[in-house]
Amino acid sequence: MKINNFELVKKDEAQWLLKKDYSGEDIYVFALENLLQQIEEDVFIQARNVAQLPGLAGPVCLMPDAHSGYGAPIGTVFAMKEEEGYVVPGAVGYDINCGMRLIITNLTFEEVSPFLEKLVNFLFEYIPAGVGRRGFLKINKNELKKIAEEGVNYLVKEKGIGWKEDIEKIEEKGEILGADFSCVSYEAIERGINQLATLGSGNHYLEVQKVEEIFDEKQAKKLGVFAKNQITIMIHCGSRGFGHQICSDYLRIFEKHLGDYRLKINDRQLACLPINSTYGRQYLKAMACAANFAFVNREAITYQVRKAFEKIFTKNVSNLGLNLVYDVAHNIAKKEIHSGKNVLIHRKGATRSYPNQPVIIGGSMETGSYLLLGTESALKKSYGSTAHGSGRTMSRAKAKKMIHGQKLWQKMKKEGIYVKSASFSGLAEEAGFAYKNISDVVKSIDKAGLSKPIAYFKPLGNIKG
Amino acid sequence: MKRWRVADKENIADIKLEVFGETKKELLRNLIQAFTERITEIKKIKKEKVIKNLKIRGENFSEVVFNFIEKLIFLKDVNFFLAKTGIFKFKNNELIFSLLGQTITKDLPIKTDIKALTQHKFQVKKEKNYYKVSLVFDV
Repeated sequence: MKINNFELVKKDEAQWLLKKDYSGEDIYVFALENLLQQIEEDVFIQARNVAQLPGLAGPVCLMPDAHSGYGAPIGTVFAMKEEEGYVVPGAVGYDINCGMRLIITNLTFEEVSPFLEKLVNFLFEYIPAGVGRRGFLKINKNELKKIAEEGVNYLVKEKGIGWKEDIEKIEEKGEILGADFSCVSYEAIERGINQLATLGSGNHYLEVQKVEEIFDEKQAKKLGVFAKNQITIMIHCGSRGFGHQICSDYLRIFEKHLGDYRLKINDRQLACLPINSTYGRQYLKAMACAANFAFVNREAITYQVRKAFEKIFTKNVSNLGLNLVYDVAHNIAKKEIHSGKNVLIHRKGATRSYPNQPVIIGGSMETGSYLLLGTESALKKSYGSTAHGSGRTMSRAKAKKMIHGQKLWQKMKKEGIYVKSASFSGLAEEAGFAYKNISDVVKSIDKAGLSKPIAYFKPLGNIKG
Repeated sequence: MKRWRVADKENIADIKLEVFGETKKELLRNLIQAFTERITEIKKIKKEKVIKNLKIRGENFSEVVFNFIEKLIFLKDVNFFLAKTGIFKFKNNELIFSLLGQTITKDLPIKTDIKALTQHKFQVKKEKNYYKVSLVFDV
């Protein structure tokens, strides 16, 4: 099959191999044909650049929600040899540990529906979104250091914010090891102190949802999803300006030192250095700080969610459920073992999908989201990775030309989705039609064997920046 | 001459801009305009706060421009400050400047946030009689 001047060979119903017109590693695309045809030419060009990086331990994988990014496409996974390989900050992304969190409640749609608008308004007050708002958590530099180095453990055990039970349900228990605050710049620290416990903007959101469909009752029950119409909360955000600054800082350092290793790359956003070089190590230590910041950010937001529910439903939070199902990153580099080899996995816009691990895939604010489970075959096919969301198909400017934010707000309200947004403009940019169909993405990863769908959630209320 | 334009067909997830200026100083003023207009309505920004004596260094003008934009992002996140215009002085590869603008308040209409300046397609070009910057913001 030919797509955008690139030839693809079908390996399976939802797995394709890009025909080589370059010297480098193979590129596999995991997508059903209808989604494959929606992938832009830039994605293949960028993936080809990735596949030509030095030190790769195997093929480059593209997820069905892939779309063009900077350097590496969003929806890329690859493995670098731990000893001789390279670390690529641009293939982790600016928003280090941007990720998803799913919380379940004991409440039903019928119980929440009369209070929905009030609840969403409260959440919007409790959890700052957009530009120029500080979070409830006032911290000093020393506390930021502890957060960055110790992650959720510090927040829960030392600050008394969040629940001990949550820690077990966060990827790496909310603490990426090896974090070293001395590798973080002054600029990143200053940006981070202001932005903890805030949602941010762009495609980040907090959503009140209801269980619309359950595909595997037994597994769903194990995860606390027990019936249709059960209320859930989904959070999508990351490491805010702290992570962005760390990525910016190291991209520039890496670019300046490419010559030290006589490295030639096809895209300056793919600047890389040996994992075991001074700056390679420093980046990974700083990246771990940002990843921990993001886990803490989502835990602090959860603390505020629980407070808002208590206030609205005038019950103790223990009677409302509000238990964490899982928290998982989709922009990260991690040392893992695959096929017996020690590698540094880069996941940019891709979720870890280990056997029986919950996977959370958020759709656009109009279409809904999925809970899935990781599989054995994901370990074999995609370094234990899967998709992360819907993937954009339209520019922000075009989306805004097609609908005004206020009109979209009214349309969504009629459809039963109440949105509180810091910006109508930002709302229009995130319209459902600007994204691929989330159900098609889930069908692709199911058919490819990368994850198994457990439940589907429909949005009821949404706060965004 | 157009001060700046959005090149939306070339970028799906984020925002690609092209900013123009007949002189280096005009280019920097137009960069402020483009930056602040993406975040809010610049006409609503008051010139009520001045941040003086800011300094940026770079190995060349391209790096000075990059560092200048990063400073705008830093001031937005740390000082909640949005600039309307600026006064500039060049000294070799150093830019000394002051910014005029205001602190972000609740009544300011927010369109979107700018989280980072990427190196993707970043280019500063001197054409025959004007300067042009191409850039992609992570939003």
